[in-house]
Amino acid sequence: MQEELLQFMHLARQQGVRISPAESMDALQAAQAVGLDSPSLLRESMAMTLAKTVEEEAICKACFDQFFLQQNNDNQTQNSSPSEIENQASISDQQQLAEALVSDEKTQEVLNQSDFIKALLNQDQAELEAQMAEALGTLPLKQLSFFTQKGLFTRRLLDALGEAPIRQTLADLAEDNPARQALKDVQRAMQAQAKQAIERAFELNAAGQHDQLMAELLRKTKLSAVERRQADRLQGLIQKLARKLTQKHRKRPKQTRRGQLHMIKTLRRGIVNDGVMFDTFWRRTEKRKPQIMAVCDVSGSVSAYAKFLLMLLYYLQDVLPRTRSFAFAHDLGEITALFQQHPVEKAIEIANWRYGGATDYGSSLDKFWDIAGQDITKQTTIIVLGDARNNYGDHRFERLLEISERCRRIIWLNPEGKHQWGSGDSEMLRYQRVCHIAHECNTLGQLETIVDELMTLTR
Amino acid sequence: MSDTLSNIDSIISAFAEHGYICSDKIATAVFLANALQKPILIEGPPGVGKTELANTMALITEQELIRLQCYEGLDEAKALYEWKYGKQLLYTQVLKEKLGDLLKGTQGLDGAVERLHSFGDVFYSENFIEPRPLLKALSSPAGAVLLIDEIDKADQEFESLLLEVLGHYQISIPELGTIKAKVPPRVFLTSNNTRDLSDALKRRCLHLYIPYPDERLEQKIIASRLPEIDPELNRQLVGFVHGLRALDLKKAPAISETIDWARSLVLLKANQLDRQLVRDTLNVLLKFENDIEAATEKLGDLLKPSVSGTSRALN
Repeated sequence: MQEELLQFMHLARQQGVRISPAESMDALQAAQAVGLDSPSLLRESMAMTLAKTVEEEAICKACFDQFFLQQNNDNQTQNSSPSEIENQASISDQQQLAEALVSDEKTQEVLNQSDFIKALLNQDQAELEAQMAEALGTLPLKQLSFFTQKGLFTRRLLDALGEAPIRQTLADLAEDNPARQALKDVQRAMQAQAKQAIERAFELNAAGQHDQLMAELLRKTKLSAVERRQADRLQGLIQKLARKLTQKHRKRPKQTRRGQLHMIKTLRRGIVNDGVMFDTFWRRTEKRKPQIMAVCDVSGSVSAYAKFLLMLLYYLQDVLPRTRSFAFAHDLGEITALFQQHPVEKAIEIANWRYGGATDYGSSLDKFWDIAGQDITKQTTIIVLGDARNNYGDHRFERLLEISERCRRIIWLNPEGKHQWGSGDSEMLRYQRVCHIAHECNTLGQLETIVDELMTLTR
Repeated sequence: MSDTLSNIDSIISAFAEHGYICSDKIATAVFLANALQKPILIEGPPGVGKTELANTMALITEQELIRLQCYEGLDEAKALYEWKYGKQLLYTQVLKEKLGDLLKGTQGLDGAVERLHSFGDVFYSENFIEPRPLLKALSSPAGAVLLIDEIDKADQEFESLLLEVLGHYQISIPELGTIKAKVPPRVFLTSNNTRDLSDALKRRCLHLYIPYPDERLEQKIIASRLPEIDPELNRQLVGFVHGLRALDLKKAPAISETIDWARSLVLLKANQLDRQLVRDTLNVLLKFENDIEAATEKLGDLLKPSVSGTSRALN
């Protein structure tokens, strides 16, 4: 049983539940405590010991059903429903088969060698399962992650079950020998069983791995190349990223020179000096509050990226509550409130519609200065998301310089590759001079590194 | 007592005796916590009986309930232990007075110091320790039920402080060494999920999510709390509350609110829900003006299924 439980945990792990060895030990202990009599009880206990959130609990239970109950169901359907009639009809056939097989020396030998065939002929379900499980155990099932591998694995499973001698004997026997026909039937039944077993193993094994693989691939894909149907998945990924970052970077207390007098500790320090409170102790934690202002280009030239940048902005605002968001193209406006009121898709749509158009960095910078200039302090980080393509308009570099002098730092994330900066109407090289950090950013992986770096800086 | 907790059915009946109707899931959690000696981390919307579970547990096991309410800024001096600094101060003064007597007959400074070392170091001893909830729970001779309420309100640093207590039922005090519990306390942690707890903390606990109960369970809960309630009214009002929970409300009514509402309906001697009655008493169930407005608009739809006798499962 322990083996099965461990396999179940492996499955749950693949589906995204984080299970440490300590937890699997707990789960095994729990299984011992509740016993194996009641499946629902065991299911509940597994979910309780393995899961850490409500979502994980649901995954655990689904996995449990998939893993244990499906096995039961398979047995039941095989034993009872349509195939039962078939089975009953074939019982006499089985006897005939067995007789036919015994009639020839060679087939007799094959029959004696293989326990699996015996079980097949005797309709011994339990023995069949046991043989199958043993054969499956010899295969590296964990490597089975693509459907194209199914054929190969079925072949290997058949070999493990001992199909080779059958093939050999089939070739040796004469065409009209009744034993040959019988053996062929046996082989067919065996192949069907093996195929089914591999199918099930694939379902259990590959579904989770497939997800992992897709997530890994998405991270590396260019944001502009992400297809529509994958966008949902990406959204989940970005959300996960934002949540992970919240976990890592919350407000940290910062040590300052002086704070409130800590009476109790001062008294205790005074004990040494005969009660004279000579050595004072100060509560010196003060929370530093970083502020972020994010400015996002939503013009046509970056339209493929804008959606994801806005999405990032949206979740960033969730992570860092003091974030203010702005969108611009020909005109600039604050979209903080918009993000707070609407769900992500709608907010992005409205922002795109309201501020989209041809880019004018000069007037947008001026407008930004008007709206937010006076709120910029030495604790403010400004993030600009844009390609700096200004359509040969006035770049207003002095304005950015002014902003950079007032804020803590400016970070510029450009979806274009570094070699394209400064080409054509790009003002990136000019703007870059006053940016504290300028990064190329066009895959989620890059984004993750940058945001992580950023959070460490703003701390 | 320990027999009661060694069987799921007897757990359910023991809790029912004390007026707490628990689902199989909750009973399983209690059973496992007892068998594996692990803390339970209870999550769920407010008012589904998270805290009450610990209270009832204390009644069943007849152990002392020690409650630690978490809040921002809670630190070890308030949760673990604190030195009785006033007494320590007095002690040094007493010591000074007695010092002459104690050191009488010693020769030279070395002798005096030698003599001083031979006294037990009382300054940092258990006599001068003021136990706070966590230490109290560990040192309780008959074991205790420790309720750490709303752990998500405490700072993240406090969580790491708890790890030693939850994992090994012990506390390390630098001046004294490690204090280990003779009888491990039964620990319950509750969380309203206002922030994610650290994995390290979650790993040490059994995870129990208590959702809103289904209609049948909620009816049973109401009936156990208010035996005098008319069964028909009970069915109707539970159906209505479940309808409310399906709406998009700021704060959905919890079990405690359902009980309050049932109590007020019984006080008003109602045996049937009607539009006027519901409108007048809705403020018991809903705590926000916007929610009340939203519910009043939908009142017709909400009342229809629960009153017309066709009890529809909304959940």
